[in-house]
Amino acid sequence: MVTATATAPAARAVRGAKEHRRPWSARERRQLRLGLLFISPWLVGVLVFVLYPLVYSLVISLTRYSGMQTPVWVGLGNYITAFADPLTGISVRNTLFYAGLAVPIGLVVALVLAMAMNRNVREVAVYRTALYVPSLVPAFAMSFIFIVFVNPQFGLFNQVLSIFGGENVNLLGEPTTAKIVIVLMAQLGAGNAALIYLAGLRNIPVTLYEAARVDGASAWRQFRSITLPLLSPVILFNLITGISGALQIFTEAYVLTNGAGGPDNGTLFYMLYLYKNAFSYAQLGYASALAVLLFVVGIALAGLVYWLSRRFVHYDVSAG
Amino acid sequence: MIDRRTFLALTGAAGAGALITGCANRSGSGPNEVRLWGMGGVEAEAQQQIVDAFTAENPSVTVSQSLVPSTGTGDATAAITAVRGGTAPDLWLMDRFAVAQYASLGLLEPLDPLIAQHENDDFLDQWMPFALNELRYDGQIYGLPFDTDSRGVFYNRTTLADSGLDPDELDPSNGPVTLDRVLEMNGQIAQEDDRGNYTRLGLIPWDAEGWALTWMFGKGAVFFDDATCAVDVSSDEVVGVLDSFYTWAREMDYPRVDAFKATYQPPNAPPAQTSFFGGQQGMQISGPFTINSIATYVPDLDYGFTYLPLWNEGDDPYTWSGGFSLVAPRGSSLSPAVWEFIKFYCGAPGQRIAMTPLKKIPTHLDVLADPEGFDQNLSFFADQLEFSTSRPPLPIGSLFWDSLVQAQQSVLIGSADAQTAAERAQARVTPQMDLYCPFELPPGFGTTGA
Repeated sequence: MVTATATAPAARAVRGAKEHRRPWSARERRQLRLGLLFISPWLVGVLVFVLYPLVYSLVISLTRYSGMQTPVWVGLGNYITAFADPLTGISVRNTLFYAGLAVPIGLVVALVLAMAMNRNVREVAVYRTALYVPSLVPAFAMSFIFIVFVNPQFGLFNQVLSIFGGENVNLLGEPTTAKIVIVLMAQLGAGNAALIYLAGLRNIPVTLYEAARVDGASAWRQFRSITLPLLSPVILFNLITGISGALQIFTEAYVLTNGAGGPDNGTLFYMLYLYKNAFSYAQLGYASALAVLLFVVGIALAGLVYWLSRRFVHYDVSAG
Repeated sequence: MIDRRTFLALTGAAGAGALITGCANRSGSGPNEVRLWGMGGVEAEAQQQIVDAFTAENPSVTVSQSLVPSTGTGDATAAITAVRGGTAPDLWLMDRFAVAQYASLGLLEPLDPLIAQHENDDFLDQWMPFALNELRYDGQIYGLPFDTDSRGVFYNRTTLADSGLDPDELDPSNGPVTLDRVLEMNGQIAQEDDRGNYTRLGLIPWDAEGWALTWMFGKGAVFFDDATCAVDVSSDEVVGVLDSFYTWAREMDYPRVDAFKATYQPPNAPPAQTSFFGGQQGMQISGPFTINSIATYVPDLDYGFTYLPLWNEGDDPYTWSGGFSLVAPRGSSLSPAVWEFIKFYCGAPGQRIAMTPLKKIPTHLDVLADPEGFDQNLSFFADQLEFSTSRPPLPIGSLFWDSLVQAQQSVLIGSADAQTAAERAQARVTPQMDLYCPFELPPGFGTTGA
């Protein structure tokens, strides 16, 4: 009774704000508990493996911390250093160069693959598997395959070059071409994005194409006026995940260059530089600051793309 | 039949239990257990012999081995994770160059208390002083040395003879050759195909152990000054070597040399696939570890080795030495069993067992002096210890190393001249070194004389 009296004014205030809300029944509370229990693996996962590291990283980014000793508070020092550090600048340029090429090329390649997977032929399942299989090869293994692929004498690229009599070229030995090799390598993972496109393509009503054909629309016109607009939400999704993935490019450069980011820092991508700072130079505070900056830039870019998407994304297909 | 409520409760409890168990720190080894992160690959067998001999003498002790390679360039991922996760081993075989850095981070346990507790004052006199100095940080010792090495030029006698050169000219009994002579020989060895690709080369100055740092030692570069607590990677000697690298890379046409290396020895190629073993490269700067690889992968190779090329006629010979050591990561039990094992492994018994099969040079003075102590084919490299030196054990070792390697790459590719590359390296190391000042290198550092 005492409790009820004490909470009465608060309860009245709530009732005033939301008159229609009645207290939860025992059954509803039980269902809530069960519901929470069912999603608890996800909740625990997000809290322990996402939220906690995120907050921890944010705090550590304001300190000088080797990973073992007591962190020393440096305020925004690491962020100021990041903007003045020439290697951060180089790694940002490398990453943007990569993203600028890999993301648009990836969108087109995945779309082409998806359209190939969507052909109305009997063996389509075989094609779909064949086109998707390269995406299952881990980036680590793919890097080794590419080392052979670009071998100056025995690799496919130089074999083609030799037809024209040119000298053998070590594509991994020059900063720009090394980055381009990694861009090309990324395209072998386009199968994942292609599957998402495929789902989008299957969702477009066939009647629209039939009507267009009756109206005499060419294949290109059908693609431009039906496929592309109705696929635009999927393109947006692949664009955002593509940008996010490109900003975090790491494994390929790590394997190809033994973790050095060479030649001449040509493949020193942002994540690789972050990793080196954290684990080779034991500057976990500075590395955390770099991680926070990447997070902010990633969110900002996703927001920008989302905002721009209002001009080109059509959500009509679900209504159709 | 189990009802839904019981099922959920049991699942929840099991999940929570797993989480708690997973998060709990693993307690250290028992008093009779030694957990070792050690050698792998072709070297694992020699380590097993040490372990077998130790357990024969100490049957109550169990030694469990895992392969966790230590990188000389100081990637501490494995160690930081293990120490923080409470799963660090009792002992770790580690490149000595990284020890000062790991010690400065607090990743390693100093061994001084164990030495004071179990040993006499002259205990450390058993090992070469230079190797011990690589293990000192802030006045304490963080490991015991195992093997060492030195650098020289390996030459393929067949390739030299095929090029019209007399391989005996490079015999070490003739003394060191000059750089000018090596470059001259290079001209005679080099071959190209009709498209202009190199198919054979002599000595690629920057290849393998031909780090800019190796050549800088030849010019007498000093990288650290105790008085000013300053790392110097822009001295005249450093810039001079980088300038030579710049010139050589232009003269040899760096992209073509790079294509040659990537052809015959692509990145991450298996250890048996090298342009030197394949006979495409007549000379290569390397160390005694190459003798082991040759014995394993190309036992029929007709080869020899000699001193590093002198910058000028009449200069003193030079080289530098590194090697491995056993260290105790934080969290090691440091039990008497662990102490007995580290003494056995790095002491005379372990080095006597392993140096011959591993084709390494001992750091234990008794074993080094004993003709049976190690493969006498390595005696040339062991004799070089009289005048060798070692890299400075700095708390910013990996940054120091990366900065020099970066400067080297810039001048080779031609994206910077020697002065600019050295200044960039200096700008990277100075602010980081300042964080550790005042700091002094161990007394007597840099002198390897046995």
